[in-house]
Amino acid sequence: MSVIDPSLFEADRGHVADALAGRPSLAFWSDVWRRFRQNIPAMTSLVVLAIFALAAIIAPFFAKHPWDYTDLMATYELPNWQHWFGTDALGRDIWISVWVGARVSLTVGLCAALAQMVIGVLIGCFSGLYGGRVDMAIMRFVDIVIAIPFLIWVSLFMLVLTPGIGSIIIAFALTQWTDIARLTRAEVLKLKQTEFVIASSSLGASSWRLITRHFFPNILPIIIVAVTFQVTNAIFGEAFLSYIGLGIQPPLTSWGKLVSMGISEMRDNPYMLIFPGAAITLTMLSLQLIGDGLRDATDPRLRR
Amino acid sequence: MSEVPQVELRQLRTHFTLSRNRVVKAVDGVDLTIARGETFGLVGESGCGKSTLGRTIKGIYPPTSGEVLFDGKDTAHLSRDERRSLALKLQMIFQDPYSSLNPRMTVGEIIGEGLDIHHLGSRPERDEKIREIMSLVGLNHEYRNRFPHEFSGGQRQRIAIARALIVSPEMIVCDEPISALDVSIQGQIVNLLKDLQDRIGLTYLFVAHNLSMVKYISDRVGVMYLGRLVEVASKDELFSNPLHPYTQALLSSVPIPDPKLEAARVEQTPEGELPSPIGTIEGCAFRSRCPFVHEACRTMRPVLTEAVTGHTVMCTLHGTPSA
Amino acid sequence: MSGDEPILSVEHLSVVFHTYAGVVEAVRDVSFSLRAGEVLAIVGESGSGKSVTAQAVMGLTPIPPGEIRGGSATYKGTDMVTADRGALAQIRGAGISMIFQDPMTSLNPSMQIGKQIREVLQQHTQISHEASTARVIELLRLVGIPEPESRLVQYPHQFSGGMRQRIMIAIAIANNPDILLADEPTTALDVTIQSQIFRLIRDIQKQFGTAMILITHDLGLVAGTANRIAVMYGGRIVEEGLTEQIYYAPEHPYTLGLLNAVPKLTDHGNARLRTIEGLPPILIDPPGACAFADRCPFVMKICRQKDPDYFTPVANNRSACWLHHESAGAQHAAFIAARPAS
Repeated sequence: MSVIDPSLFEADRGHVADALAGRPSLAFWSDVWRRFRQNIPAMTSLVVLAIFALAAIIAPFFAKHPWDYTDLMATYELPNWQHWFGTDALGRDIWISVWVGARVSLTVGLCAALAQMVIGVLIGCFSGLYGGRVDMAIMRFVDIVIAIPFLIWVSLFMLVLTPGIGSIIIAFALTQWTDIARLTRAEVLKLKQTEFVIASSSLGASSWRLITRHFFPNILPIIIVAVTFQVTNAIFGEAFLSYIGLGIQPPLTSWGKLVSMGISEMRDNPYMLIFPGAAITLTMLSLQLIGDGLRDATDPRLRR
Repeated sequence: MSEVPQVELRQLRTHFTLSRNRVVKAVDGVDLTIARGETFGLVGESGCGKSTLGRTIKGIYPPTSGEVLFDGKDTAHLSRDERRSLALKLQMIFQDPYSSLNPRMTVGEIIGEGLDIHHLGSRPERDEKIREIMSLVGLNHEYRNRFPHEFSGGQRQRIAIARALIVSPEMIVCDEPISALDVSIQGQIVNLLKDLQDRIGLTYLFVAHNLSMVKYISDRVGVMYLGRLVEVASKDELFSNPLHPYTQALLSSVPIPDPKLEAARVEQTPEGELPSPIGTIEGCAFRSRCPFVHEACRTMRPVLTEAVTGHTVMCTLHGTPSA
Repeated sequence: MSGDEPILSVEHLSVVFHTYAGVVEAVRDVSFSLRAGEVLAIVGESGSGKSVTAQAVMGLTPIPPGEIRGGSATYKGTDMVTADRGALAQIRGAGISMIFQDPMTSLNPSMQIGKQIREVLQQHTQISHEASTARVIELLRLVGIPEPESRLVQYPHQFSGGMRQRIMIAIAIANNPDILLADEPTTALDVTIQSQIFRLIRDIQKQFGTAMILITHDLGLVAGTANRIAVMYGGRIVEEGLTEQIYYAPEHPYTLGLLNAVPKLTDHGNARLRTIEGLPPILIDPPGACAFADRCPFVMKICRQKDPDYFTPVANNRSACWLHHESAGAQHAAFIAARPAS
């Protein structure tokens, strides 16, 4: 062993290192983002969706004419340099139609899902928090809502409300919140048992405080994943409604309407179906992959 | 004694109904007084009801029968203001430092929650109080915007203690506060609790299963078995002269960190397993495992009697049983 | 009592884990050996590397995110750290067995316990059904399960925690292993049950002469069972010695701190508990200094610059501490003075 300077063996009264100083501060959502970024399909889907959203906003501004400008000289044109996606039976440009339709479909999807989230979370929280008879009553109500077929609900709503984007969003929001409600209730039942909730409620926290500060932030990761899938359902639901004629009416168009028109022209002019069909499919696929990616990124067991 | 005790329990029972005929008698007839400024240690093994007792006192579980008196007042019959005041005066810290703090709140928010809920003080006053309390428990105020998962177990317990302290309580129920911590950290937390008690004058109910730590921190110690308080004495008296056969068995099972003493230790481990807490037990709860069991134990339920001054025990060997 | 050749030889074992925050050096250059019939206790707190060491010896380190940076763990000529699955399968359950902390997750909840014991017998020996049943009953009786003939068809959830741990022990000793590795076997159990289980472990050791490695954070537990004790801190063994020496004359400030941190039932009076201040280190990019320096009451300047080598202050002991260097006069005297008078 080499000789060591004896003066190094004097007592050292240096300060005790701060144990926390070295650790990188990692808030929950930054960690989720970091993990999400590593998921290639999910990130690709995010890019795809971003492109679609951007196109939906911007593309119609660059159009020479509004989407429903009919040009009877240029009907049933295959995709070419004037009309990138071709034209339909009335000479309307399909490229613009797709992006105008995107505005409608994406808006419906997002708004309906968000509204479902608000309604579902509130109902689930109250049901889980109060328990007992309140819980049982709410859950039976949920069962009833689920039992009535979606088409019947929607038809009822369409009778009462004037058809349009707003009424579709309302129809979805008021009937499709049940999954989120059940999910929320299950999580709240678990959270009620955790010690930090017991600690707060024994400090005197009100129910509202428990819901907003303790339950909601902790169930948000799970709810967001569910909401992503709800967007998918809403987009598909709107397409389906439009297909059967209960959805969007002119002067608006949506992917659903475009698809329904495309299906009738499928044999002779398949391009009319391919473009809007691809748009819906890609959007729904992307949302699914993002939802899966979020689920993996927020799962505490899959850390590192 | 003319002074009103901090806590008094009279024949407290907390039962949980699982289904029609299955009732868990977690706390089954406990009489207990805790004096102001005292540390009362409560020991027993899993299922004895000590945690339930602590939580019933705090008000997390409602008593099934019997009374809980805090400062002489029955906690079941309080006005709304009195109840609010009680929620502040009587605080609790929990066993698991990983689930007793909301992972989505910052440390500062967690500690200040009591002030926030009851609108105590203005915002700057609250911030000042948080700073003061954090320094009192040994936490760096700079970290008040960090999240719980960034701290170690011992630090999280300090955060939990800070949360309890900020509302200026008179008493803290400590429900196994050190069981989940490393050995060297346990001592830090216990020393902290002791220091706080000296500085502020707190009463503690210290529920734990680590007998050595309980002996170190407590003034008096009670032993629970199957929902019943079977022995109570000052700590020195209990550990040097245990009277109840279960206490004797418990103490003899504690391993000693000393090879020579350990080799000489004679275990009196009770035979068999803990009976199920569901249903009623006739007579003495310990009779199925007691080495000194006799006829009276099967039919007479013993009462907590004073065998030596200040030392009570629930055993037919030491007092007259009740029918 | 025990032979001279070690049956397990761990040499310069280093294990790291790749995490988002960096590379955690969980085990840093750990070496120790175990002789036949000997009981070695590895004592340390969370983050000391004791469990990771045990996992590596059994070849159980999860390879991503874990990585064996170096070293070996040799049992009868096989390096457990690099052995292939087939070789490991032959040794685990027969040559070296392990029992874990939580019997709830280590036992298969949907298989009868008798079958689980029989499985481990059949994996390593040719044994007929009747003979294995007889052996299962014998084992259950040995570990103290009452009425084994009728209970061997029951499922784990029908037993209490202490009983399940006994069943795990039965599975572990079924093939009369040379080495039994017990990783915190009683942490989840009540003190009276813990006492029973340790008594069982001691009885098995006496009856079969099985060598044992007991891993625990509780120094009190092993005082009556271990022959030798290795104290781990910050991924290294900081002190290793015979049991009596460790408890009565520890040669490392961390060992001393651990002993002081546990109040004894035999203590009297209200002397303040002398704790170890500070927190255990995070082993990402550890500085080349002693991991205990920040918490050591006898720290010297050298401690913050160089990780200490092993010294041998007394026979049968090694201690990784600069206090034993010839130049550490004053601080060493302070350390000796701080030890309890023998």
